[in-house]
Amino acid sequence: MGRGDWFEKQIDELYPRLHRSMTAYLAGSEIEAEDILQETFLKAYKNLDQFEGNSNMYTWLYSIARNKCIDEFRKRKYESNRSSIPVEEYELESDEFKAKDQNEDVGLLKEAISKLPEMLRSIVVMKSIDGLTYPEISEVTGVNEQTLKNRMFRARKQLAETLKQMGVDQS
Amino acid sequence: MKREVLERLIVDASDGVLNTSEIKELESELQNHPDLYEDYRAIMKLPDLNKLYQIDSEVVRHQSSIKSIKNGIREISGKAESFELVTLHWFKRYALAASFAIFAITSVFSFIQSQNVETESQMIAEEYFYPADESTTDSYVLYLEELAEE
Repeated sequence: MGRGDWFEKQIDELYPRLHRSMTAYLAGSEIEAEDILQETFLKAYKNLDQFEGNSNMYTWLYSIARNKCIDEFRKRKYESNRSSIPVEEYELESDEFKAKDQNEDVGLLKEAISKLPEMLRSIVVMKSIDGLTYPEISEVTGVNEQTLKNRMFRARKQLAETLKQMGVDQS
Repeated sequence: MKREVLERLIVDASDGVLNTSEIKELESELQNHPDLYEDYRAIMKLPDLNKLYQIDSEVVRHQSSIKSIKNGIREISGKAESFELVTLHWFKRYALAASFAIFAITSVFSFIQSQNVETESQMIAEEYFYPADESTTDSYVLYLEELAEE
């Protein structure tokens, strides 16, 4: 099997899962998961020589996709010229969730996640939605596991506070 | 126990990796940190996010996106197969071997050339002493004799 054939097989296998993750990660923004994934897979193919065979293809693709998203957040932030806060603190603002699922807890939960700063949102999506392990998240983010857990604590605390403010019953 | 360690244990508890006795130990430790205990209770009540977004396993839904990616890859592959890039790729891959081969071939040619030059020089010298065409020598000797007679 040639390099191209092998990679095309990987796309079939990994695209749906990566699409779900990116959809959750980008919820509330105007960036389309499809556009990010298109660029991600093409970039990955061009740089296939850099992929180490014994590492995880999914986390490698995930890190490329996440970097693409961060670039896009920065670009859009720069273009809108709203403020100079770093992208890690960037919170998404959108009426997407108000339009649909307004009366459902699921919609509010999605909205609460989208309100988390990027640094915390990405960890919540990777761990709680995508089911990556802390070592895998560490591969993607380059942050050690202990720091990741401390950030996860902050993320879950903030999530609980946001849901409380939204009046979501968590009992 | 430090707050940072307790925070990590709270995360472990909410991930479900602590057993009953470890949770009891954590809760007992948290009695010394009322604010953290409140956070712990709030975090433990959070709903499971795992099923919030489902994997859309319907291939049809992603088919056009996947097809578009594959077309993009074929375009890249097509470009990469141009003569220059293929040559460059193979040269980079075997650069060291190619260098040795070029060096060896050049050396062999130089050696053969130097051999040829040496042979030609030897032939010229030998012709002076042992000319192949003896008639030339005879004519020369006759010419010298004629000169002497004069």
